Amino acid sequence: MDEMQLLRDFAGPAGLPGRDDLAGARARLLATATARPRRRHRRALWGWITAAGLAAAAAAVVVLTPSAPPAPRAETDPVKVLYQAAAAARARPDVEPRPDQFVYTRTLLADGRENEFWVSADGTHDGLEILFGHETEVAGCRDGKRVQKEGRGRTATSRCEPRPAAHPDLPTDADAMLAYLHRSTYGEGDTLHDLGNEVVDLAGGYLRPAARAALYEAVAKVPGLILRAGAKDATGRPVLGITWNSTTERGIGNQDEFLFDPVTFAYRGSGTTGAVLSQGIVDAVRQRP
Amino acid sequence: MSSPGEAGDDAEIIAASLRHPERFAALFDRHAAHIHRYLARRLGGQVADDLTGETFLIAFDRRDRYDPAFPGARPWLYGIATNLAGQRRRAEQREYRLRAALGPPSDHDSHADRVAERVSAQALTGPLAAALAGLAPRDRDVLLLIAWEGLAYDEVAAALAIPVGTVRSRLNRARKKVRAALAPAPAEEVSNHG
Repeated sequence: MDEMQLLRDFAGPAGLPGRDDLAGARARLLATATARPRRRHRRALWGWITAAGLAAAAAAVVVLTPSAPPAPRAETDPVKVLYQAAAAARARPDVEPRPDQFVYTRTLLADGRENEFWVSADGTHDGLEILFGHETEVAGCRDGKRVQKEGRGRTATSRCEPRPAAHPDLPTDADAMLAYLHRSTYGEGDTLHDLGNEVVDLAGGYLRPAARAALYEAVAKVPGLILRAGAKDATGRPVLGITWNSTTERGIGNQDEFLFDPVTFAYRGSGTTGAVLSQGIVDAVRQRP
Repeated sequence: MSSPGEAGDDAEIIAASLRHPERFAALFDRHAAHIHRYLARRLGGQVADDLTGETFLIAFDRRDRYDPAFPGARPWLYGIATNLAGQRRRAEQREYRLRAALGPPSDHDSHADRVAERVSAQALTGPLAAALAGLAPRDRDVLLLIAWEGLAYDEVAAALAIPVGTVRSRLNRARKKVRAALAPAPAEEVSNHG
């Protein structure tokens, strides 16, 4: 008995659906592709609060961008880099934006385009993205509802939970953080690959110092880390690139590379989502630090 | 600049779609039929209609993460579709029960009728459906991607982000269980052949 053949028989005819059967799904894809950027981008790129930012935290506009680094020194051990980054993170002052403020980030992609994000600190205020040249208002989540503008005067109302720019409740020790990363919070799955995506999202996000330190220490526990010293980010700044191979032979599982300042170990962005050019806390959308 | 993505491999299309999102439709045109067939086999046609669209919306969403070292994106899409199928376990079990009761859905393909006939004649669809439904989800994913979709081991590895060795071991485990479920019990053997 060949159970594989039986299985193939059980699958039924090998015919493919025709264009008409797929037209609806295609139209939906095109509408989305050409209209609004999807949710995931919103979680993409948050960065680093510096000590410099603290003094100005009470002011309307806080500049968060780290200052330019001096010449890099050589480092070869990815675990060591992560622990140094964790130590540096822990030493940072704990700055929290007010609930009604926004975390602003400007990023540069390797192909030269810039993106800008204003994300509501508590997730209830309307934010803004300028993504690949398209401006999109990102509706805040209020009373469990998000009323998103869809273009041509239409709106789409959906149930929601606020997604704050700051993650106030993340674990602050490495093991708890690793468990959190494995928990598939956004339904993304639990493979090492999923975990990597989550890490890059969080690392690019606004995290309190203890949570950020825990994130780096959690990553340090992942086997197969690779350090690329002497790498450059999209702006040409020298960076330490850290990634790992999530074990598929041909590499869809290869993780995005996330980038650290070689001297201050501040987070500098990631290989594909781009370099963080400027970041800060502002009082309103369209305001820049 | 020339306009990349109008032709070219999937990786080029995906790269071009970062700047020109509408180019992503070319990826749909290449692969949607296969993804739909796969989802329909697992979940039935109606659910497949929805999830095919969802697969491509998710892929579009994550296209900035696509590893350009892979010229072909179909394993990646199968991986996303498989994750979505994993969230519809009940629909999947129902589909298998339906197939067991009615035989695989036939279309105008005459081969299908022959196949349905044969499978029903062997009276194995019931046990087969039960065996499939009883597999560990991760084992079933591997088995179906190989048996139904004809993916190579390394493509399954790429689709599910697991090592090739794991693909092999999951496949072996799944096949063994299916074989065991289909093997006639000793008593039946006596009554059938004795």
